[in-house]
Amino acid sequence: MEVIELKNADSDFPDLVKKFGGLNLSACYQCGTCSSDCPVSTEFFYRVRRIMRRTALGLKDKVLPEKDIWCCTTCFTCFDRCPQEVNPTDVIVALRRISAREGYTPQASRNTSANITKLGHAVPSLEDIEKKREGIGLPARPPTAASHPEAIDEIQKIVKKRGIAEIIRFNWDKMELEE
Amino acid sequence: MISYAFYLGCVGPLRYPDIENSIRLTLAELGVELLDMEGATCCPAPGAGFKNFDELAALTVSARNISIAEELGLDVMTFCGGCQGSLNWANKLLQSDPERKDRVNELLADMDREYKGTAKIKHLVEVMNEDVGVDHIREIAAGRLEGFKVAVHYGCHVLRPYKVEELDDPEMPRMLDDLVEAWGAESLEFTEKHTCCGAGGGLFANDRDLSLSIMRKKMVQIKELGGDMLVDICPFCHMQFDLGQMQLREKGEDFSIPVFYYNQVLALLMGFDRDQVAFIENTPRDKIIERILSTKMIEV
Repeated sequence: MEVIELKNADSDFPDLVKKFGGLNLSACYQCGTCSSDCPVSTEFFYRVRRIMRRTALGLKDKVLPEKDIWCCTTCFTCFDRCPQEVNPTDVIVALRRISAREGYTPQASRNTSANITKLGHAVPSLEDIEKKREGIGLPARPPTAASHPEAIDEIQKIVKKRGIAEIIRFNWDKMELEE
Repeated sequence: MISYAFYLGCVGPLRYPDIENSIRLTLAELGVELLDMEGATCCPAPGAGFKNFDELAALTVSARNISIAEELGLDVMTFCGGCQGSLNWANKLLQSDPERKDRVNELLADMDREYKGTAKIKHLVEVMNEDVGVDHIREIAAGRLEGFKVAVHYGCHVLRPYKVEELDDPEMPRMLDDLVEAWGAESLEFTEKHTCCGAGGGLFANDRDLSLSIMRKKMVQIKELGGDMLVDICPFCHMQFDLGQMQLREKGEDFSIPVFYYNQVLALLMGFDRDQVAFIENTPRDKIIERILSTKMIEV
């Protein structure tokens, strides 16, 4: 069994997590409802309860760099069933926000937000699909940001004001992610 | 006639326009008018987009989308679980928190927009149940799908978190089951019935193998029960099942469970041409569509 040295813990960490949206973290009494309901936990050693405990103890180095927090599907099953209303999904999302600021975001998650910044959509429009749309009497591109460039400008204003490009390391000159 | 602002999202219009078309065609005939939301963007993805990085940015993008419907003076109809989750979360949070609403409107003022909080956000399954009605669907289908075994999939964000969605019991929902049974079909019961499809939260792209292994558990059970098809109400879950089964086939495991969005089957039953409403697929549907089209009305 692993010995956890609390002298390595950061006692300010739980408050930081609360600031980023994990408001009810300290209500967790480790019953494990979250882990047993989790669709991911049956597939590999992923335990929501462990994430809650480590976070509450301030063991940020065992939480922020781990891929675990990016494996949550945000199904909200634990959120609905938690008897303490810890809202574990909110805690995990708060951890993602902190982890991203330390540069740990997986490439794919940065990509989705880069797409939204560039296109106003999470996925690009494809020529093949545009032809299929026309074939059934729909406009090649839907009446969304895909055919309204000014809508993309508006999204970029929000991205700039909120500093998202810096968090995901999006380069405005190249209009793509930095390595 | 009832009218909604039709929120399209991303995966529906940009990957499965046949789903979008099946909704436009069926709802027009069922007395629901859909008005386009010009310049709408991504919702922006409940577990994979801006929400992972900055709450206020996510809220503002959602509020911008909702403000387009407010200008039309209409409630919003979504047809994707993720879009429903994002927009409804933002709408309810902003309706109940004036301080957050002010901060969002400060950002929106920059683009001459204002979020008021006057619109409701409804998923298609609610519109089908409450505006169209299960009885109306039963009359249209006239028992034609009797003997068909259907696995339904709601999609997490249509139902959860309950305190946001407040739609149906997330542990034992009935809304989609009722709509499928109105065709005359049997809605299957199985232990993985309400499990996540495995695509949300960014996992679809972050770890494809892990994402597929969650989806696979559902396929195993549907196959064992002799399910004829899977019926969903979310284009992203739909992509996970449709594309995901192809990816599992490439790894040597073939489930071949045809996947439909609810309104695609409904459109076929209403007489719309397959080439208009159900022709984009990675998991073949030819045989089941032939079977659906060859059914006869057995009760009215």
